[in-house]
Amino acid sequence: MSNKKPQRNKGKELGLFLIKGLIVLVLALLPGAFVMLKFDPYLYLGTQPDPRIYVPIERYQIPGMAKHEDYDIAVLGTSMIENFSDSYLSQKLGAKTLRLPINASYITEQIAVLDVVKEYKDAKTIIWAIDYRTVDIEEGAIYSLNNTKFPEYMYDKSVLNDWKYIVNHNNFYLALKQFRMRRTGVNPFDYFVTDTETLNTWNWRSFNANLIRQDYKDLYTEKKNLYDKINNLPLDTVKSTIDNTLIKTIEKYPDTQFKLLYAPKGILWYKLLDQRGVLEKKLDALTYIVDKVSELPNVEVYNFQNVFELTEDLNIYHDITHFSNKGNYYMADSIAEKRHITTPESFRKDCEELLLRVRSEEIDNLAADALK
Amino acid sequence: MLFNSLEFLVFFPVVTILYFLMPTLRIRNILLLIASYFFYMQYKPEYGLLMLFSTLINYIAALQMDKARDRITDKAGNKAGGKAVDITGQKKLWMAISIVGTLGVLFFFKYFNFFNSSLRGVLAWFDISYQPTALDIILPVGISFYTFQTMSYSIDVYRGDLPAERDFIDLALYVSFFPQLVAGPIERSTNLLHQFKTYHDFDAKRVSSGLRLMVYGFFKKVVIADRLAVIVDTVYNNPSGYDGVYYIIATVAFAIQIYCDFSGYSDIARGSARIMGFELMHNFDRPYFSKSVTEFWRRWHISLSSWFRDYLYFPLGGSRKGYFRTLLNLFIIFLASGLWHGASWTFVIWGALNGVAIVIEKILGIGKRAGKPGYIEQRRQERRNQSVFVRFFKAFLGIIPTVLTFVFTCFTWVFFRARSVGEAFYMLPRFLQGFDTFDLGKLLGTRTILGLDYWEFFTAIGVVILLFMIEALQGVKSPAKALDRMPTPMRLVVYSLSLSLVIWLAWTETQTFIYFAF
Repeated sequence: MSNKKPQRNKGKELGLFLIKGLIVLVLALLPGAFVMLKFDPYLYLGTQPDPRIYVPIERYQIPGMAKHEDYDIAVLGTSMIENFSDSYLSQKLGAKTLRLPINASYITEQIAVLDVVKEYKDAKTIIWAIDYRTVDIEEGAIYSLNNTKFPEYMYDKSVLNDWKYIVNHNNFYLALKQFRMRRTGVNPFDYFVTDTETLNTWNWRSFNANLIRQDYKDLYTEKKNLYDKINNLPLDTVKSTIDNTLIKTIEKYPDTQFKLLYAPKGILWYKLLDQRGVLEKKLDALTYIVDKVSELPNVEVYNFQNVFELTEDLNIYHDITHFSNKGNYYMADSIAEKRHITTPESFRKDCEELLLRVRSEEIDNLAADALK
Repeated sequence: MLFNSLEFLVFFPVVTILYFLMPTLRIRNILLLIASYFFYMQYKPEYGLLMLFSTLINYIAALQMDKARDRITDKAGNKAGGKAVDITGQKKLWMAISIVGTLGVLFFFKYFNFFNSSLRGVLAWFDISYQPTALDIILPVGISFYTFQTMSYSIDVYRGDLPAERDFIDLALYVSFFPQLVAGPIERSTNLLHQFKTYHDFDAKRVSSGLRLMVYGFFKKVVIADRLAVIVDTVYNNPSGYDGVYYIIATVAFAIQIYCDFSGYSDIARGSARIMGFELMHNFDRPYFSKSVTEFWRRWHISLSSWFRDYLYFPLGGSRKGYFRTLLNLFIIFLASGLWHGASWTFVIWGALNGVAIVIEKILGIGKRAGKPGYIEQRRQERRNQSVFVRFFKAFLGIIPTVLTFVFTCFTWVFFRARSVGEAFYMLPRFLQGFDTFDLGKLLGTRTILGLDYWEFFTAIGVVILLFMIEALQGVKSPAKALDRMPTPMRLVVYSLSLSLVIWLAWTETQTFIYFAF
């Protein structure tokens, strides 16, 4: 009888170990992955059963909608477009329209949405709200204040990183919650939405003059930080960003009609920017956009900054920049009727008029009142 | 690089596969050294230089101490390697260089600003104006851990417990070994260094055991600790917004969070090291089952407690210099332990509170058995030999001291977690307020409970219960052995379920490990 230990076959041991490991991994992943593939909470894979349930977390919800909803016109931008009514726009423009907003986004994120739109739906008309803050960035910057995360993997063309969507606890829970909602009919946490018409809107909020006055006061007295809203980069940087992002993207899609719009923010916003010495730079940047796109045949720019009946009606504002859907209806009508289209010449006049208005005694008094 | 990051999920398998593919021990150690520095320098490349500096000082100092010892023993006619008297003072000199160099770096990066601001506060009492410039320095990750680990090596060589390591690669690897580099366990040279001199074959059983430990560590970290962190941060970052029951919930949550965070890290560290064939020391042994504070410290951060025992308590005289000196020595090591955790008065108070409790227990004779080596294992054995009835009865009676110890520990955690001493003292009296107005139905009826979504909140409760069930089971039998005895298909199902739990319940917001800050 030999005392020698039997020699272990290392190759066999390793092979068996790997097979067992693989079985464990597959078994661990399968149930959850099945739930995710079946219920697809953000509509990213297009497998979500009817009726569709939407989650108002725009950075995650929008790419799936851009891919799998039915529309001919896409509306891009920040919170400025959230209060548009899809059905009203569709009726006015004669084509099915879908809002694809990402609040507080920069041009980088908005271009990512546009690329998904063009890749999957090839919408021929894009309505695009351009804020100054959208382009007041270093090229490629992504909004990240307040721990905001942008899931780039949901916007790129690679399927290799889609596992980040599938193997994801938050998404898994959303899928389970949606499953429960479908079974019981009860919206378990209020925030699920079944109708794209109301998704991401905030018309339920309060709008009155006191709110915009208070916001102006807070920003003026630096209780709130203005530079959370704008980066205030040098004009050359902003121009370079405009060239390399907005203009290049528009040039990339020559068969698409772009309707850029400058939204009607509250007059006290322009006043504050002027008081901080930023307004002229902002207008220069917006003028630069108008100049550049005037050379392109597929772009119209709508300027609503000078619609004083809106900007000076403080009762339609929730804060210094955010207006109720009255502003959105006005813009929708104007786009349909091709009002407020601006050119390099008319925009320069608009800018002069805005500056004069902002510096007028009436607006000075309005601002002084707000500070009381 | 965090253990709970995608980078580590790629880094670790790649390093492990390469490690097993390397033909010689020497190449393996070089690979591990490069991997460890790469791992560490992901935080900040400059940190690597600091660690290299610390390694170099201790490498040279230990060699010189060894040389001095050999020379002396030769002169005395003794065999080389025996304990010897340091006639020339060379050993002491090199030990001092090693300690000043190593602790100097730690002091500069961790305590300089703290001592300066504290000094300013003290001088202000005497109306002396002292306005030091605060240095804009960032604490290098894990510096307290590798500093202590490096120092233990030099002290061991100084004492003659260990010959100086002549191979710089091996010593550098001992200091920087990536699984335990940034948050321990604080390894001893006598345990780890020699393991780098052994060629570890691939062993499926050992690798399975390591993976099991890692999965358990990830469960504690990403499923429990990160989830509870939301509750804790919600309350502790806004103490004036809460009181009474909320403070209690947040503090208990913090007690579990810090345990799961830290012991989870230790489990991942031990598991990943075991996969490659290295056995790191056990750092936590179900501390919240302790019946006294003394026992708690036998079970909590064992590598640090034993470090302080061996390298501070014993040199101070331990229990050999009389009763009062023993008590003082005990208090000193807990004060030092508090300071080790952070350059802030909150940690000093936390350490002092534990020190006072240990001293009181020593005077009253509480936890006396716990102080003896092998006590925990002995208790476990005793339990195994008892009938179910006796075990149940003793467990029932044993709950009282366990609960009291837990309550005291939670009390000390308030200082540990509070953002300042002022906030801790603000909170303490308010722990007893607000009970009359507290409405449990209202709390549970809201969509978000203390920062957690309703589902997440109950998931947190569920996984904490599961944790304590596992730990209670560990007290009577070894789940690892039970798993090994299972038929393979059943074992694979258990593994899959455990892994599934970690994957699908992992808190997605990646957070850093709490102990990285130390």
